[in-house]
Amino acid sequence: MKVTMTINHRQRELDVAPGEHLLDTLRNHHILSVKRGCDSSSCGVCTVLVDMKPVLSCSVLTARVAGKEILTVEGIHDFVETLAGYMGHEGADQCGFCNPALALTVYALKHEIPHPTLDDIRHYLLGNLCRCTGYQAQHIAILKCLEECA
Amino acid sequence: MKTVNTKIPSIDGNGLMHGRPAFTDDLTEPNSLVVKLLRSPHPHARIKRIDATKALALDGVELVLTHNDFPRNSFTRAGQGYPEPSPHDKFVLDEYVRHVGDEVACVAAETVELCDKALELIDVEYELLDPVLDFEQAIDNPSILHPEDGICEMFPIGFEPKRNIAASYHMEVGDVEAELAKCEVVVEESFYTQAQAHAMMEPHAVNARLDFQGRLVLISSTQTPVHVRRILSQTLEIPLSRIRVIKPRVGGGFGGKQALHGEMFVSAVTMRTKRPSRMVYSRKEVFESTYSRHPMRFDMRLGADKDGTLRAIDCYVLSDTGAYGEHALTVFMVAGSKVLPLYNKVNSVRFHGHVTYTNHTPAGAFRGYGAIQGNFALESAIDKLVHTLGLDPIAFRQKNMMKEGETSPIFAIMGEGTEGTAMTMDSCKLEYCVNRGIELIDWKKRYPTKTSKDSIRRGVGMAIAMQGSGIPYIDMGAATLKLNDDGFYNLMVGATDIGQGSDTILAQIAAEVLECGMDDIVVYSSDSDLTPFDTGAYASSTTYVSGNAVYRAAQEMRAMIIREAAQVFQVDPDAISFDGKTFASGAKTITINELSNRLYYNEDQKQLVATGSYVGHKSPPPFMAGLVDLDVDVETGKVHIHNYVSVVDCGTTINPKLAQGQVEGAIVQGIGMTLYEDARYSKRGRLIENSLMDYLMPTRLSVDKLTTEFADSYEDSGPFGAKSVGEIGIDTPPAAIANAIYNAVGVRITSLPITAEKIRTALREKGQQS
Amino acid sequence: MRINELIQPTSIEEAYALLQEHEDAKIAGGTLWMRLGQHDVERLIVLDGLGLDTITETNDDISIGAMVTLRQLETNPIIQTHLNGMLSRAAGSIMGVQVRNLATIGGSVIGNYSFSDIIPVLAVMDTTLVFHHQGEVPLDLFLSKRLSEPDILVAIRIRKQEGRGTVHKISRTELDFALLNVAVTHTDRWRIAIGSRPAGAAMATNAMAHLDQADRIDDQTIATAVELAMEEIKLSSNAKASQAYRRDLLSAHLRRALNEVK
Repeated sequence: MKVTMTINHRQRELDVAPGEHLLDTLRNHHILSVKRGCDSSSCGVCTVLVDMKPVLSCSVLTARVAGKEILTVEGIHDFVETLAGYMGHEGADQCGFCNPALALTVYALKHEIPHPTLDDIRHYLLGNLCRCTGYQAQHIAILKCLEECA
Repeated sequence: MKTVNTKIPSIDGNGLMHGRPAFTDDLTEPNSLVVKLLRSPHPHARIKRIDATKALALDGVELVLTHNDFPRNSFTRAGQGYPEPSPHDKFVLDEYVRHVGDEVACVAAETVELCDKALELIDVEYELLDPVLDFEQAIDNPSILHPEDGICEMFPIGFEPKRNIAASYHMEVGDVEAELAKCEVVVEESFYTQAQAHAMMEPHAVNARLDFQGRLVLISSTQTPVHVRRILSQTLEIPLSRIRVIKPRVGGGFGGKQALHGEMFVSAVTMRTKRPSRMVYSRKEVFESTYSRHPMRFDMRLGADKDGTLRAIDCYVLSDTGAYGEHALTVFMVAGSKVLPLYNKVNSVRFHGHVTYTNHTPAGAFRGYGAIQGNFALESAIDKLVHTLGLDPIAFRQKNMMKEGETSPIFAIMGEGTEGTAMTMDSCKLEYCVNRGIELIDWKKRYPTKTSKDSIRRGVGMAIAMQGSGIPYIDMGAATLKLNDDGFYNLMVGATDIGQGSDTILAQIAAEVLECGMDDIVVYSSDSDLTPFDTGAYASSTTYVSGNAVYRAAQEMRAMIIREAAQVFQVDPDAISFDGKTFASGAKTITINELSNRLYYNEDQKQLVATGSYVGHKSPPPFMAGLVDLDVDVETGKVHIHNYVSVVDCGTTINPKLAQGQVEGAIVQGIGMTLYEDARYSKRGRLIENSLMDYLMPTRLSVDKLTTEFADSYEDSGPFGAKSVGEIGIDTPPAAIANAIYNAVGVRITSLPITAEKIRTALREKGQQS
Repeated sequence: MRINELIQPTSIEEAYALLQEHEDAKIAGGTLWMRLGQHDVERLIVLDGLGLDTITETNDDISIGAMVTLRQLETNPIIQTHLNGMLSRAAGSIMGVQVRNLATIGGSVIGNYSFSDIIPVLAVMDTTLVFHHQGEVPLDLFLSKRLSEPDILVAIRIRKQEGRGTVHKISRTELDFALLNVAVTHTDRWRIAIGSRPAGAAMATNAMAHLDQADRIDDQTIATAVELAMEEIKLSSNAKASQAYRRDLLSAHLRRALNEVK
């Protein structure tokens, strides 16, 4: 079926299967920042923003987001650049596989809660699993980033 | 310019956060065949018949391979030095299946959907065999995992497949029984550890193609590209020179990618079809069909005198390697060799036991590699002994533990599968680590417990640990530096960055020697065609072994460019001063940019390349003290961690922030193993926790605070004084947390994970007794 | 799981007609659970864009559209204030924000999952389910017997009550399913629901009656109520927790919950 949506500020007309998930659609169209990490809607590495809300692209049927605005890190370059600076400063990035998803979720958090506390950050990002960092350095970097860039 | 011991951001974090294609499946060829495996639903069976006719009849299904399609060469998936200390007890596909998730057949098709359909249409008739699902009943069980011919050990490791034994070992210093008989107090306890899963975020992935020279080129999410190439060549009978293995960016490993997984299958498919192919493991396959940590049972006996002199340690270990003996002996030995030397003043110590086969998912390499299991047993037993003696756990450790300048006879006796290497602890700041740890956690005020309100009890606990820095005389690393026009360098390393930041710290080492900026070093890791030999990212070897290789290469490059500058000025190289930017001899100067442009464009043209190699002659252990401050709710058994303090001696931290990241990531992974992560099997041999929904890991809310510090330490044999730091962090949480729970509520849990339910059950039983 | 046809009707009437016409048709919620299922779906009907995604209130009722997400429940001021925001807290305790932005309350209710964190909370509120064809069905009636015919859940209606409420979700980690759910409201009367036993939510009727009849609520009254609940609520073992441990959790958390809202 033919669907139209905005992906990273560009209107796209796509031909998708009825059961096709957004993760597959995006990767098939070479938006490779979106990753697959599990098969149980548990890990968060496939996170994208649909109308500024973080969702698991592995679980969203592409046909259902017709007419909506899809954002991946390819569409928020400036924010990623800023956040990556803070993350690097804290030594908070390791394997990096989950970091595009993390950046998108932080971007949504910033939009939803402009002045988050450390606890807000920990709760909002709960669904973004990371096995490398032990989380604390990420939280420090994100808190500083959102405080200084608010 | 100073780069070593500074907090430089990792060189790849920015690009990866931007989502630039870097991981294996981002680099797959368009129109690749999708490769998937039919996997056994049974824990133990013989395949009587496979019929793939219906699957092959589907349009778009290219190939179905079964055990009849591969040469019968036994191998081990373990990515280790050659000859491997792991038994060659596996075939690419076999007529036997030995665990739920074991490989039955391989399908290649045009799409994922077609592959799935084809898998459903393959008809397999199994003869069900009795499974061995209890590792304590495995030895001499009537059901034998490996009755087949053609399997072997590469050198003596105590391999007795007809008895379900993958490996055995025994060592004794002094006479343990006689020494224990003389001790005033002896404590005994058995401890159990579980099959922790690595759960790296990127599932195992690999893809293959033939290049324009007809060579097989693999891009693989692996920690050991050169071992992958060698094992592929030996097993599939492809000349080594016809295989190229590229390790792109890897999304976490923790030991879980120190083996071959899909490599055999994509290679076979691409060699046969001449088409590119790709394979990405489902998360269920990662859990059921790669491997886990070795579950173990420790029978510990400790003997001491009432004054707190530890005199004897006896340790019998039974380890469960599952269906295949990957890293069976070596993980087992590390449970002794990187744990027992912590208490080096005992008169006698014994370490012995067996590694058994069972019909479980295989066990293999995992950060800590036996040391975390052994540390839980020993450091829990030490606290039990201390409480029996009525002494202070800190004072007891301070009296009996390893100190700088000392040694242990175990170093010479126990290596990894072979004899060890004698060494003295030239750098060991364990005393400082313990003393600083006590301060940071406020031990004197908090030990053993402070009752808070209602049902909450607060307690502190601690453990000490050591690891190693590579395997002496085996782990080899090499690095090549190439000077380019305009005066920047390529650093080509076989060392495999899998997210731990090794590309960054190796560049820092090179930049420090060459006194250049980080931007002047372009790192590439790793590609079997382009980068020099390196055994890979395991055994805490990268900073120490590969780092030393980079140091040597950089020293040689520095000497080379100084010689070239001397030639320009027609002076002796000793007369040249070089600050990283400018060569000077008296009033004459030339910059590195000018020199390199001259070298490549103008005069006496030549390419400057320097290679350094290193193999360790010892394995200087990093040390640490881990201390935890936690709450236990006595009504529910729920544990809440307020603060986990780590004070680590890893020599010089090449990059303090990245070193901290290694420690903190490992601490939280260790906390996961201690409190949450379970790997249980159903009665029918199916792994229950086989998804990220069922397998519970620490969350962002599990720990309030991590406090991490490094001791001021310098290891003379390391690059700029560095030792390793990749594994040490994972070792202390099991015992430190078990000890803190005991201090808080008076129950000792001896099997991991220490779930809330186990604590509550122990408290209920204790309450009923009193 | 494969989906062979995706149908996006333009009205609920049309969706209902499709559901009657095709035995193999299913209604989509957030499709999180459906995706994990083994069975193929022949026809999937989605109710997006039909106005079922709003929360409204009158003087007497709160009406929650079936397509309202768990994240909307968590952040909506009406839900955040009613009975101490217990429904908001229950919704907010489920997985990560990426899941809560997809999962719908309709999907949570209609699936009648025994591990639901939402149903025990709705069970201690005065809740009815509004179906397109059958109209209003009290929640307890729906939970006790299957739908007699295919119908479409349009909204969840909660009668407003003065009082206090709380919910305790006991889980091994913050991302795990509940080992036990304890939901309590104290309005003009007491209501206690226990979920994830691991069977679905059950009301502690005797304990509720004891509290309703008590002159004053003191430690003794609460202790007796907990004892009564322990007798009447059937708990059992599964891979997540044993029966004995669930008994300990029920005893501790029901006492704490009752104390919070007394």
